[in-house]
Amino acid sequence: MNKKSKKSRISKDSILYDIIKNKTLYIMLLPVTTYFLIFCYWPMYGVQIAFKNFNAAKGIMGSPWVGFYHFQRFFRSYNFVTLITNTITLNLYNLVASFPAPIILALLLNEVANSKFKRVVQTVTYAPHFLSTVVVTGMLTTLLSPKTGIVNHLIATLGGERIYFMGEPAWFKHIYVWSGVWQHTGWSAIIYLAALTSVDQQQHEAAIIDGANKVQRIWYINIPAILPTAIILLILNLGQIMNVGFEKVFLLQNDLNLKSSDVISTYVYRMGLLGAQYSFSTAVGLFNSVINFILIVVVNYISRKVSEVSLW
Amino acid sequence: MNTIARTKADKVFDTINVIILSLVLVIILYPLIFVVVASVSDPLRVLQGEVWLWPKGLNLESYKLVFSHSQIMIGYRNTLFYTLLGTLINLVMTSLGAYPLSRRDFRARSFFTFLFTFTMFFSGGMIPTYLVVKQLGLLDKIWAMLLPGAVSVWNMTIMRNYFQTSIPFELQESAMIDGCGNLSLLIRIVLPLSVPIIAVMVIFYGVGHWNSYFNALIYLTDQNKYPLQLVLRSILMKEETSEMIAADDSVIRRQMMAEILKYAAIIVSSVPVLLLYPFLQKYFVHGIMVGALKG
Amino acid sequence: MRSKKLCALLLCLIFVLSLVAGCSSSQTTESGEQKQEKHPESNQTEQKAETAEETPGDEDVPPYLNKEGFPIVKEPITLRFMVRQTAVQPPHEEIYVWQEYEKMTGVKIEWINVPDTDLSEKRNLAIASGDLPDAFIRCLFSDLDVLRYGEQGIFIELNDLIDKYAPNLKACMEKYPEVGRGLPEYNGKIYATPVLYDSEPILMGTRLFIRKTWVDKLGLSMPTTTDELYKVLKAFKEQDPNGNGKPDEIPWTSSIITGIEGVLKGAWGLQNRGSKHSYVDWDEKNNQLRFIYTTDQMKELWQYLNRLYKEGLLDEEIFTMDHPKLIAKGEQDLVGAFCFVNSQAIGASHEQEYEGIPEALEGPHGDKLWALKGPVLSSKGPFQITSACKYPEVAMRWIDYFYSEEGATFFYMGVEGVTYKRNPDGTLEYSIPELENMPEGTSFDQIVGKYTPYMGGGNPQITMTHYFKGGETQPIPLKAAENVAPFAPKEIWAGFSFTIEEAEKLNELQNDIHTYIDNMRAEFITGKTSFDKWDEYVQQIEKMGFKEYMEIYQKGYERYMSN
Repeated sequence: MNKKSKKSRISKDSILYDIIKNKTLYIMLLPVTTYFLIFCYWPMYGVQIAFKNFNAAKGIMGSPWVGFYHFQRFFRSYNFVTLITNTITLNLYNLVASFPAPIILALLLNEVANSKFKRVVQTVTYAPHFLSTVVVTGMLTTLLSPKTGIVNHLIATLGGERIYFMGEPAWFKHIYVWSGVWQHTGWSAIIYLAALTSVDQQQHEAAIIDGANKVQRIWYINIPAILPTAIILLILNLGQIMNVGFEKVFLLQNDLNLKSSDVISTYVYRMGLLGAQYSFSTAVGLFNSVINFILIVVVNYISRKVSEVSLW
Repeated sequence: MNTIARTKADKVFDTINVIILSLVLVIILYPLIFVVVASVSDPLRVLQGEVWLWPKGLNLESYKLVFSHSQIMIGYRNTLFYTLLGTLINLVMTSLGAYPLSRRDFRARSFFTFLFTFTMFFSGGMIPTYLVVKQLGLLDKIWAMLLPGAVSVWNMTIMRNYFQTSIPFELQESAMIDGCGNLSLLIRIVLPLSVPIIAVMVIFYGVGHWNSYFNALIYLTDQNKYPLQLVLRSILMKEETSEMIAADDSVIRRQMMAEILKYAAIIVSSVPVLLLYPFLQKYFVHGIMVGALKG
Repeated sequence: MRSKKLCALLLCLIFVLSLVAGCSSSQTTESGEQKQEKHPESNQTEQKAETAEETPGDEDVPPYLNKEGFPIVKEPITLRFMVRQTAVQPPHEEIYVWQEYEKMTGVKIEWINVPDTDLSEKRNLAIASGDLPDAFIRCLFSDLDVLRYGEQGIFIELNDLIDKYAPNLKACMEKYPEVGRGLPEYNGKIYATPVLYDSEPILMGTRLFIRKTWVDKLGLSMPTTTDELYKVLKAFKEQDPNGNGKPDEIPWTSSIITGIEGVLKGAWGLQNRGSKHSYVDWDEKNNQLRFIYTTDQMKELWQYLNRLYKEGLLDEEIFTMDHPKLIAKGEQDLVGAFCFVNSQAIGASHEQEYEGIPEALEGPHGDKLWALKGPVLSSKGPFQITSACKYPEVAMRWIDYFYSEEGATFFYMGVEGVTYKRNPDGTLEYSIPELENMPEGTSFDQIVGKYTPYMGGGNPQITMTHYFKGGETQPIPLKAAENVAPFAPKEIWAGFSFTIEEAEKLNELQNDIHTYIDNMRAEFITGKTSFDKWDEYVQQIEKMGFKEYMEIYQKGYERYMSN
């Protein structure tokens, strides 16, 4: 990068030059920037509630300050460490399991010659994404039921002992994660399929002439082509590490598996049952966001250094 | 398609590929079949675990119940409208946002990317956003369904990433040398080459609109503006009486029906949008880049 | 690197600007909203009312109000009420009773109907954004919310209003001491009118129903002690009473484990002050509060359940049960015993074969208590008048009618001769013509729901047996309640009042401790954790802030007793 010039004419480096040269680009960004200013930054003042005791009559601005009181309430909860551990391990496990699957699916689908078969598989695999969480957890409970569930039928016929899946803390993570893989892999593969369409056919032709087989071609051409997309998605996903959705965990949770199924969102929900807790839930949300944010900044930095692909 | 002869290794690969994908197909397909079959079965038999592959006690009562609510057609109509107009707005906004961010020579791109990405993490929450919408005079207006959420940072990032990796900068540079302005660059060169990602955006945003109910929940009060999902939610709750009053067989049946209604509701709401993907698949084709570069 | 710094600087600027922007705009908005909640109609009538004559001797009665009798107001007045609309109800403006009441009172109600599903969002939003209705009716506010919003001034203080304009509610408070004690907050103020149940069948709570036909078939008798119950359940399991040759009977199940635990608590003398206090009761020997879940008696109770579980007498899936599953098992002719407030929960096919236990169960130490009876004051949540209401006296008089027997009968049954008739023996019965020929796809609830607004419960009025036609007063549950009524505790506590700080701290501690207990109950009963670890369990609860929990509870108790 050029050093800042001290000459009187506008330096090529300065923002002003950029604005003049690329003014259409700035104009293009205007609607989007306005959108974010109005719908995201303007309401951001509400974050203060995390440091206040929200008083509905006085509104957000008039409510009294309490500093870190709500954060302390959260930290000193007896199960604080368990909640954080459960949340993070659940998400990491989810990430590790559900990240490669759509990539592999997309790569395989891309090689299918018969377009009818390809379409059928694509449509079927992306359909489960539309099932509501209630339906999916309902089906899981039915399928895994110790007496009437098909899984246990299979186990029994093979001579094994029936397992009360939903009642075992150890099984909770696996049920949660793999049902998620089942449900969302097809959907997540869409973006990779789109990325694969931009792979240069000439490279493939050249490789074939050189005697490479399909596997080698996938490895050396396709994968590098979708690598930037994969990295971006990985970074974005890591930025959600503290966010475990409430609904699915809540529906799969029961008295027996609490040790591994209690996460931050279900804890906050229980606190709110006895009375609206805006300040508390905002504080917890803020805590989560800060951790997510720090993580994404770090990961983004590493990624930029290592692979030149990054968010910013 | 390659007409070059496939090696033996390739043939093996292809066979294994088909086997794997077929397995995947079956594993994913079975529960979907279950949902369809359960939605037309006798609720009691479903709950007792008797329903595996075919409907038992075939009855269309759950569908009759769903469609007997006149609100359903209003819901469909509204959702269709919100999805079409909403997705259009999304596409325009997201492209306008993603393109400048993808340009290497745009000095402020880091700044703007950071500005937008920041909002993914920190938000004021439901109440302040509600107040903003209210102050803009959007409460109970159709625009409350279209404006909040007009741009998703996630989607915009994906689109920007596509522009960066799939559209060679040299192409744009040569056009700029020829005197092409930024806007025509976007419209005449970049977008036509980005048909796959546009298809992806249509799917992502379209499905988002189709499934949405929360904005409607808090911003709308006129029931004639309600989208499909909100109507379905209220139907589902209608059939689930938590207080069992009166010794009536039909109340029991209603409780049971509520279980099955879940499945019927899914099908009613998903089938239209499921058909979208096969339709859009034909846009997932290789870009017409080769010729452009050579030229 | 420069752009990074610039980035951060601009970001901070924007953040600060938004804070300031939010500052000025929200202040004007929110306070503006609070002041502006004028309904155009009431504006007019207020002017009219001001010129109306005042009756001599009623100096502090507002000019628009009639102190007694109907109509309530001298000129038509409109009030906006936010109401929870349950599944089976039409929008409230269509309900017959409300239409009649409007004619009687002269008060028009603009109903803001909120479906069950959307209730907490809409209700919380209404409060936080300043768009308050004149009153909230049956919106399920928790006790803590009532206190909080009362202290913030969103719900107005009702003490004076009750004194002057609510003779029926006042009479209830005097007739039932626990209501007078439990209704005021820690500072003596009242912010809501309560849900009252003066009906033993409803108050008796969850019953234990046993399959009489199986009992007879196997030559046994209905159990009266925990030992006899064990023997009956064992017989159900081993002697194939459903006659299909398979050992598939489920002797005892329910939709939730606490139902089962609840009917047994009395057999160990636990929960001796009623169901509103299910974690803390009274230690009669030492005259102090006692935490139920660390007592030796609770240990024995769980050991009893553990034994049942191990021997297959308790449903293996009890921890993942729910209502539809209960019906499914019931219809499959598998269930020997279950627990619920009424007998319909088991499904219509076999409902008539069940009966409630003849007496409260006697436990190993001779305790024979029915611990599940609840207090007359069921909840503080159903009716609050907000600061936006211009005519609080009108609202108070409006709701007070339903605390009288006449008003409550009207609420439940409608108008005599039109929607119900009085039988020669004094009982009341619906006489709605549609009930005779119910159109296809409709239910009892839906039809009656068009005429009377009580569906869904949680109503601000007093409910008595002779007009309540709900599940709890049907023959089987009715008899079940009568059987155990003599064994209910003499003294039943209503909920205690706490300050906001106490309530919040208690909420935190309960979240930790009660969740832990839920988890350990499941582990002890299923045998996952052995009872050798009981002492560790108790110590763990102590570590979780148990001492503070009991101290706060003690404060609540003292306050309650001194009211």
